[in-house]
Amino acid sequence: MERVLITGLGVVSCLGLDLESYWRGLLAAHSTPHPVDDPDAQMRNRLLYGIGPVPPPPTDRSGRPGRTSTFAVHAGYQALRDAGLLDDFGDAGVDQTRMGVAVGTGVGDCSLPERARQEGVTPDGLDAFPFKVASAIASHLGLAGPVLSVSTACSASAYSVSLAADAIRDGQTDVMVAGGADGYTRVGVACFNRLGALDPERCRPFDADRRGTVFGEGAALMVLESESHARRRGHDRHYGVVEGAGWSCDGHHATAPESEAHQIVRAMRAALAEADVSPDEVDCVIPHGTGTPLNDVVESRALHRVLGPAAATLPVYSLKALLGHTGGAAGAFSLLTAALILERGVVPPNTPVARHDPECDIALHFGVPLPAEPRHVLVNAYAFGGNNISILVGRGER
Amino acid sequence: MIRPDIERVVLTGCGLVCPETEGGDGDGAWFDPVRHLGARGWRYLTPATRYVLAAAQLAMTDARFDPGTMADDDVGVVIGTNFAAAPVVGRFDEVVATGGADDLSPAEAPNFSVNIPASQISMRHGLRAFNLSLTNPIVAGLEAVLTLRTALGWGRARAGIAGGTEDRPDGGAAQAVGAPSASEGACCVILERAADARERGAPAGPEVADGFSVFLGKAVDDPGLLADAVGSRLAMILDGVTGPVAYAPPAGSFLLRDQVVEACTRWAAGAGVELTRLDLLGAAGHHFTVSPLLQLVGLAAEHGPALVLATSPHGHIAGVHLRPAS
Repeated sequence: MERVLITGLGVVSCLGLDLESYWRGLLAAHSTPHPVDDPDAQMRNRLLYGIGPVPPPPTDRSGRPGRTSTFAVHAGYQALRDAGLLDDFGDAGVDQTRMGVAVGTGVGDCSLPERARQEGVTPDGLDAFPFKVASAIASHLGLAGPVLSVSTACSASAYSVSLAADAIRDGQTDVMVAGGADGYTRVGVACFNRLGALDPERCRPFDADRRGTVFGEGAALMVLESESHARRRGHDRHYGVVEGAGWSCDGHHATAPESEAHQIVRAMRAALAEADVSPDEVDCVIPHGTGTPLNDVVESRALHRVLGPAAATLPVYSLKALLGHTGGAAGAFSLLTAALILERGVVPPNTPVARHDPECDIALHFGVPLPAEPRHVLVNAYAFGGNNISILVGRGER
Repeated sequence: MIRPDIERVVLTGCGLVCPETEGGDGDGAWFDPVRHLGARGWRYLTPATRYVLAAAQLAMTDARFDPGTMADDDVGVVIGTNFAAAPVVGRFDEVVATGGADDLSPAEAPNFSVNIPASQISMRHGLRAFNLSLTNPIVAGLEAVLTLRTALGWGRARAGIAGGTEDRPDGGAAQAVGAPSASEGACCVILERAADARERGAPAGPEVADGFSVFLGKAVDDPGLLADAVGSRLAMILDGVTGPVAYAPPAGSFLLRDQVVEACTRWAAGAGVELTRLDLLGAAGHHFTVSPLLQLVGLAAEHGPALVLATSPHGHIAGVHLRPAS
């Protein structure tokens, strides 16, 4: 079966607006959420791992870009440029109809209707459609292959990467710009306030004193490419290989995970099976780890069921402690980070945890990067509605 | 295009709820939740969730499909939508701006997430293979069918529910698709691996033979490129088909839609395919992602090859080829 390589990365995050800034931010392991500057955000907790002003791309046939599309288009450009594909259109024999997009977004361009309501108007025409982030990427990058918009809440972008990999393996396309993007959502933060699911200090997964998550925003996009296409264009560099995915659904509750973790265990095992990788070959885990009390305990226990005693010692990288919960983009941020870990051979230090929850028997390292040379990184992403996915990313032969 | 070597998948049932089928036309009053969903359990669900739960139930009944006879991780769900959450999010935003987040109902708060309608199907029926929500403008309903079709081919499930659901949006969405006003509703279909359907004696339905969903990119501004883009995709999914094909053109009335229809007609004439255009429920486009599904369900009742297309004013185009199951 055709291997699916990760040949380019692009990121817009609270740590920086390009890949190297992002990596430096991971190594620094420090970030602070701030109250969002929104006069209509009438709520107790307005913390956000936010991003400063980012200039929007011009309005085009796909409509006016909102905050989420703006992040996504910037990250998409970076990813294509990083893969050496941005200058290849036309003469280099890269067929744009064989290049597509799969983007996960929980709230789409919600900034447009939220701003319109503030101004007392309603969005017209193309802007009335909230989920046009994938269209914006394709339109601005000139891609004319399959274009998917996945909105399975906080697992959306991990699903978009899995669907993109399937499309490449199916032969539908050669290249997919895949990942996720989400911008600040006033309504989303308000609803999490009402659900009592936000931490008043910061996002601190696996901390015994954690009280919920904290929203973040940004975009993480990857160029997925068939190995044969990369070879044909003479591109010999890749970050990693999308080796396998496992999908499942709790079918249990709108917001709470199923406490026995049957389905998240099944998703992890399915990803390993699809990748033909045994549990003892997993060298690092990037968990969903939101900081909500029950989720972190359930996921920790599930890791032990899948990986055995090694789950207590192998490196776990708790990304949301640094970025906050980027919603529909969260899975893609984890996958992009996994690709960097595989390429650079170290696991960045975790953001310090004041008091490690003994109910979460996993290994979090602090202070310095961990030299790891991992072979395979397991990424989990879960969502409202109990929608789970696990993806295994490997180094592959280089 | 769907890989030709994967498992054949057939459509064994469909269910639809919209003002046109329920005998009403305004602000949700056309829909009787008690009749469709029973006396309890729907109060805190959004209209789009209620509609899709009803459509899913009708589709399962139509297919004589009892998910309880299968393992719970054998049945998946894929739902397309653009506006399932938009009206409720707008209402929440007003509450937040005027009274604050504390005035929101905690029971309703999860409904801000657009994947709740699909999730409620899995929760109600215990369907645990997977649950996806797709949101491309207009084409997401057909994409739900194609995504489920592909997932069954990959062995991620043995059967599933694909569909679309919409609440009635504010603003200019209807104007964008050239409809006089916006509507709402849901449509679901049951897809199964052909061998499984045959074994359980499922009602005979068409095979979902092939399909595509792509972005037109620069072709939207170049008639020649557009003709090539549409023609090449149709040639792939209708490979080997000649003679009459029942045809539902893209719903709505806007410039790109008309250009796609023209390109499709020209390709057919050159390929020896005789498109028999049917004006089916959904053609007006004002049910957004549900519109092409309503057309697909209409075509499923035909007894020969059939083609439904959808396009968005943003530049998406999708198509599904149905053919009699062999």
